[in-house]
Amino acid sequence: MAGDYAVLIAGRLLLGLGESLTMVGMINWGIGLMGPARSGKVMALVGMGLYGAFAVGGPLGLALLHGIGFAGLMSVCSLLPLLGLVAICWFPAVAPQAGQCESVWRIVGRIWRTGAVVGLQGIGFAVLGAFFSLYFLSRGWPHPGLGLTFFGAGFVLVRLLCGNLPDRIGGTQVAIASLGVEACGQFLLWLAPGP
Amino acid sequence: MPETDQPDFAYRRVVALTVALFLSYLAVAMSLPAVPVYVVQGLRLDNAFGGLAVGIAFLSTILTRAHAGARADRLGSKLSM
Repeated sequence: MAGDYAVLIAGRLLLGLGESLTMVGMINWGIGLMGPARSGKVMALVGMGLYGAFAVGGPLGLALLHGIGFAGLMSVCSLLPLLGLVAICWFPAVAPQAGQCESVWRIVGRIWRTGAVVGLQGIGFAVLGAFFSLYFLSRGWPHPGLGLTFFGAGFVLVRLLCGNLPDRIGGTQVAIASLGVEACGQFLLWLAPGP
Repeated sequence: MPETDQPDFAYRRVVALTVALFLSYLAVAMSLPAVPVYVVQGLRLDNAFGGLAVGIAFLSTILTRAHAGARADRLGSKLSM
């Protein structure tokens, strides 16, 4: 059992590494293909792909876990990225960025305040992601995967409807309003007596 | 970058990249609710181990992100993805 858990942890560490490389590669490649002037469009697409996957993945993952077991689900999870790889492997590469790369720590020094805000609001999402389905199952409530679905759907919807708000009324206003909305949402979850 | 001269062609390619990203993150997203359930109900371990198994992937993402960015800049984003 300890061995099983060690393998799982090793797999999760590799998954995190792959996630890093995929995300960074996609943003760089996309901006390289479309040109920096349309980087906003690339970021919007990245967000839709990312949270669209979270919307679909929640209930689908639990359904597959129920239907074909944990090993079956993980095999599907291993095959899906390979499918994506086959689909895009013939696209032209773009030249790596020229110029001096700025030190990560210098950038962190400049953006740590806003970064800390993103980090703190991310805790809410991380806890929901880890324990939402467990909580539902422990109470015997139906549809444990749907919580993540609505989360992801909400994200894609806001991207589509309000994607240009930061450019129109300023990023700070949007961030303050968004944090207020998230706090209300967490408060509602705390109050909720049942699904 | 010749592709930037044909924006719609480039756009279609980036949409395809988005689909590939979607598939990759589907693997992340499907395991997100399943891993804690497996750890707690399958392996009969404590809630804390379930949380650790989920969180450690995000930790790994954070710790490798800076390196991944530098790598994408140096070796090219295609190889990276």
